[in-house]
Amino acid sequence: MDLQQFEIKILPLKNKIYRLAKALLNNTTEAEDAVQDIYLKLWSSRKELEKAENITALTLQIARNHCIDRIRSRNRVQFSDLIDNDESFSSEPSPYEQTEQKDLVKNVKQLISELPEQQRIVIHLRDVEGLEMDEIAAITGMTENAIKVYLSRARQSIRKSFLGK
Amino acid sequence: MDNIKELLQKYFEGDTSLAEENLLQQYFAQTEIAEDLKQYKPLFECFAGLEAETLPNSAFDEDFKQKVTPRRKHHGLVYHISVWSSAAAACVILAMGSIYYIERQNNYMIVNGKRVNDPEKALMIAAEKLHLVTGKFNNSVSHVQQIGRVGKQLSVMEIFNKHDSTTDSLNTNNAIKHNEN
Repeated sequence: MDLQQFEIKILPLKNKIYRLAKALLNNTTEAEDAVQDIYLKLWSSRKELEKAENITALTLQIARNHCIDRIRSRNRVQFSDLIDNDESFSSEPSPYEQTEQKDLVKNVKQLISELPEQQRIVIHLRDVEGLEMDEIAAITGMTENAIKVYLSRARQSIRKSFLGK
Repeated sequence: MDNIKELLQKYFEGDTSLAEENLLQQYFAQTEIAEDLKQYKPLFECFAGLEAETLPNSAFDEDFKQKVTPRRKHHGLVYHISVWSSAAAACVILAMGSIYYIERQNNYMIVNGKRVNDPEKALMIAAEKLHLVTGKFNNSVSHVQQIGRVGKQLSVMEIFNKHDSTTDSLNTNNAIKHNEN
C-alpha cells in the first residue's frame, strides 16, 4: 500500500480513531497524541492492512490496542485522573450542545466516561460508531455473547445513574 | 409509541439490531416526543453528538504525509566535494580497468588452437612447454652421449682388433719362418 492508497483508505478513518481514543483515554489532548502514534503504527503495518478483509476493523483494533497499552503503561491509580474536566467537553462546541438539554447530554457523557473499560469500548463502538457485533468482536477480541452482556450492562448502568431506574 | 417502548426495553437488554437502534435514534432526534419518553432524549443526543466529533487538528493529513515522505536533504560544500571526488575516483578506476582490459585483449597466445588472454596463464603454459622441451632435449643429449660412449668403446676395440690382427700376422709370419727353418 503506497501513500496514495493509504490516503484514500486509512486517513479518512482518523475521526473514528480519534473518537475511540478519546473514549478509551478520556482525555482530548492525549487522544490527539495517540492518533498521531497510531497513524505511524498503521503506516508501518500498511502491508498487513492491504491484505485485511475489513480494513476499518483492523485499523480500530490497532488503535484500541495502542490506547490500552497507553493506559497500562501510565499505570494511573485514580480513574478520575483520566477524565477530562467539563471545560474540555465544552471546548468543542457542536450543534447538539446548543440545545437546552446540553447539561443533561454532558451528564451522559460523563457517565459513559466513568464506565469500566470493556463496557466503555463496547458502548462506544456500538452506539457511537454503529458497528455490527462481528466487527466489534474483531476489534475487541471478545465473543459476540460477551459483547451483548457488556453492552447491556453499560446501557443499564447509564440508565440507572441518569434516571435512577 | 408502544413500539418505541418495546424497542427501548430490547435496547437496554442489548438485544436490538442496528436498524432498530437507528429507529430509536431517529425518534429521539425529533422535537415531538412522548412526555414519558423525553427522559431518554439526552442519551441518544449524546451518542449523536459523540459521533459528530472530529479530530481538532484540521491539518492532520498534511502533517502525516510530510512525516512519512522522505525529505530531500540540503547538503553543504563538503558533501558536494566528497561526492564529486568519489565520482572522479570512480572514473579513473574505470578508465584504468578499461585500458588493462584492452591491453589484455591485444596480448594473447594460441595453445592447442585455443586463444589464451591471461598473461599469467600463458606464462605458465609457456614454462610448462619449455620444461617439456628441455626435458626432451636433455633426454636426446643423453642418448647422443651414450652413442658417443659406445663409439669410443668401439674405436678402442678396433685398436685392439688391429693390434690382434697385427699380432696374428706376426705370429703367422714367425710360424712360416720357423717352418721354413
